[in-house]
Amino acid sequence: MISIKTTRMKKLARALALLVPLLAAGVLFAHHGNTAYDETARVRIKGTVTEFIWTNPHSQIYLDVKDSSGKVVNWGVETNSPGILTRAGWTRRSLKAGEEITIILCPAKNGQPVAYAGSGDPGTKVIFADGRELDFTDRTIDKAVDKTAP
Amino acid sequence: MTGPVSRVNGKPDLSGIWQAEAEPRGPGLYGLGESPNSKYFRNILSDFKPGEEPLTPAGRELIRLHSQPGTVGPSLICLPDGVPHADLLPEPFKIIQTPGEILFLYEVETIFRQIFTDGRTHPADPSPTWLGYSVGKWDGDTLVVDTMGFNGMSWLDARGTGHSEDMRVEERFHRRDFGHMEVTATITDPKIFTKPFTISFVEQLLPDTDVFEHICYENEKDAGHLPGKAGR
Repeated sequence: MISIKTTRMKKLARALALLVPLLAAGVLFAHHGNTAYDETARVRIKGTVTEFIWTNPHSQIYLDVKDSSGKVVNWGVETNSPGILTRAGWTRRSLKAGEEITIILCPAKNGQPVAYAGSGDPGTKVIFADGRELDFTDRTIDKAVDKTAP
Repeated sequence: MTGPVSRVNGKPDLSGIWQAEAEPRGPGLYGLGESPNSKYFRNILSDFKPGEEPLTPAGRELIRLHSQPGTVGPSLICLPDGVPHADLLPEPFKIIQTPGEILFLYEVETIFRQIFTDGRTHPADPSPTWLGYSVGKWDGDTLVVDTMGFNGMSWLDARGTGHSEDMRVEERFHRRDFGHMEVTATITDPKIFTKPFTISFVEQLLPDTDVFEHICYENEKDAGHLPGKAGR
């Protein structure tokens, strides 16, 4: 338990370092208000998972991505709460360090390797090497049966 | 989902896991993108044309203060959403109906609200709280909930419409069929609004899940890095 907490604290510090450029611009608001991410875009990146933090209010996915020059950049991708992820079929073990994944995400507007992928942005998702996908759609709403759903 | 509503003690049973029915997505920003949600989540006065919102000067000033760059709304620092905003989140709440009270268990912040249906009236001078003091009674098959005793600190919506300690909210819950509950909320707060107004929305049953623990503060990192101070 202690070692997990220490690792988490290191990772939280890293999350901080990633988010500070966005926050300094005064544009990052959890839940409400303007977004620092380009939610009209869907960008595909591929990399190796380094960390998956399952936490409130927003879980985080970190992955090493090789850029066009071959340099490895660690991306931080913010996503939903454990409650929302669970209803989309995720568990805290859905992503493992070392796993190769592709993510379709909404990148930060300022060009930093930071992004958002989650239930508010249809089309964002994780694609595993074997072709399996995990998106953020709520699977517990019975839309097939519910005639009054939009 | 369009099946009949079961009854308990002669009244409709409102028990279940409920979440605001999603609206079709229009253009524009939705914050950090939880599931699609109600227009009232973003702006509780969205039924009014700009310029025609029934706000007093104090009400307008409160929104202006809350809109300052760097102002941090209470939910950003993991404080509770109030009434009726907590019913409009993209996370659900669970209703447990018992004879003397009806419990609302909200996933966000893992908080609860008690709606007392044992015939009591409001206390004369309640201690102000985020969710107020609620008493409920039945009007036919509609549960009418009267809430007062708010602390004035919550925001009624994401854009920062505020309220005073004198706000009074009347909600009416009508479970029209198994999977849907029609809700109206009438907000009265003469300090902030020039007249009472009513919003209407539908809660959808989530039949295949539960409410999960959601302790926002466990990893909230944004607020401390915004310029300015917490919005009040």
